[in-house]
Amino acid sequence: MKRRSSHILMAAGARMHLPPELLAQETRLTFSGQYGITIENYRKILLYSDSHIRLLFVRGGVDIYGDGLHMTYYVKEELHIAGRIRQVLFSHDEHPAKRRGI
Amino acid sequence: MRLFSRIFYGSVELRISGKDTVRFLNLCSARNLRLYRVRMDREILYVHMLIPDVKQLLEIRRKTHCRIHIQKKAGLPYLCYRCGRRKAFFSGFFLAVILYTLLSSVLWNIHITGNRQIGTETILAVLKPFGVFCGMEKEHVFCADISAHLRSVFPEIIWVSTTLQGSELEIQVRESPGVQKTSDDSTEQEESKKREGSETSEEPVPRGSLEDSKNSSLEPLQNTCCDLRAGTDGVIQSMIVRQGIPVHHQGDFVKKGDIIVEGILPIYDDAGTVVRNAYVHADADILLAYRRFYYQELPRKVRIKSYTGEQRQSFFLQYRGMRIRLPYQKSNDYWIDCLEKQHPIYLTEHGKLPILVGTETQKAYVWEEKRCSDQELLAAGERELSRIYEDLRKKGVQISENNVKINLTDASCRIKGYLGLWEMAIQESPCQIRDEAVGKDDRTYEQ
Repeated sequence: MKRRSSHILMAAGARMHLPPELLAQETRLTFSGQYGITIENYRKILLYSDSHIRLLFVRGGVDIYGDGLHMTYYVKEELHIAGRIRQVLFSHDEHPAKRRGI
Repeated sequence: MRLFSRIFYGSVELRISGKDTVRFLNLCSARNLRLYRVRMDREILYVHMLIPDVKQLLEIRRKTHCRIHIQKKAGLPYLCYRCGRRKAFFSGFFLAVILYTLLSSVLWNIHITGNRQIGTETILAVLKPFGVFCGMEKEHVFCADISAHLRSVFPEIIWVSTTLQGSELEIQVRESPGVQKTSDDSTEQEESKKREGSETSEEPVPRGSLEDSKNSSLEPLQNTCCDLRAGTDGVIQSMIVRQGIPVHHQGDFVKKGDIIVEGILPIYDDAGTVVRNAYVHADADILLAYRRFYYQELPRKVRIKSYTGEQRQSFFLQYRGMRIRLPYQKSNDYWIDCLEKQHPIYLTEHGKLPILVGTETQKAYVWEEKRCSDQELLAAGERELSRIYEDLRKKGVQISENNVKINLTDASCRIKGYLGLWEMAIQESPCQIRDEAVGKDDRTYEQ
């Protein structure tokens, strides 16, 4: 049901020429080739090391695997990960941490 | 912007160790703290933070039980703190910045090109009362106004271009090739008065007019009326009258002060009666011939300077009236010649500083009496005569007859004789205004 409402909001936003992630509270990921990724509207960091970073979004999360991963900057709304990115895995299930309300 | 805030506010590199470093990151994000260059190395977190954010880490540190070490400090606050120990360097840097800002806002040089008839100094003298000079603020330089002012003051200038390049004002002028510089002193004075551009500049005063014509109650025509009088005793050699009535004629002998040309023109009616008098400015070229007797005696024994060879040289630095000499030793000799060479210091082309450097050379001498030979005495007499001829030539006096002779005696050289001279020796004097009703009562209007 939630996924369906998200689709509707994104479609409405596209009609109104608004960024779809703004209405649907979706996360925006911008890749700069293989060596950089900017993530906006994330929720929190769940795991952080130089080879694996796991982030939690409002809906789902992402696992970023790579070598020498580090954050160039890290603020509340946005973070930028640099390093050699090997794999990005999205998970649509809500993380248990979110259910606990951390 | 981020780089600017990191430099301006200052940043620190923190080394964070503990079990819950990820929570540390999340709490920082929740409190809206900005982190830069976040990297994890062997379970130890390294982050860069702004100094104002560091103070908020206390609560996070308490919650996460992390240990925080400051690894590195950078930014302007730390630089200022470090420069506090090097006050000279820090103050010198800021002084240089202030001086650069101040000095670049000032006009330092005025470069004038293309002028041939009008001297550079004349143009600078005209620009100074207009408010344009070396050392003025650049923001008060208006190139269009300067060009218009120069064109209005100098009619010889047909084209002016004024540009401000950096701290230099470049003025390019083109002069009219037809206009020649006049040699008449009065004209130059009038022009110089006019060029000063001050409020005191007046219209040129007509020749022969009364000096304080503004206060006179006479009519404008009568203000300019004048007679021509003889400036010296002599015979009128030639006379060309342009205006006025000649009283004397060619060949007449006149004394100094005699009226030669009168500026009053009587107007007759048909019956030959004087109806009224017209007052004009008498104008004529009158050449007076006269003789000038000359006598001079040059002694054969003369006192001449004989330099002893003793010489002292000192350098000096002068600021306005104050002078410092290095090295200075006062000469004990009674007679000395001082030769001084001054070198003014120019900061720019026309920007002269009030500082002079120069050398002062003192040469000691004694007076010696010398008996001149005939050749030397004759040469001295001829030099003296040449000087007299040159003086007369400069005054515009023609020599029509030369009867000056040099006679040598045992004791002296006598220059004796007379010169026949032709000179335009006339003086202008105000007319005597006649009472036309009575016809006899004369009143003199003189100031």
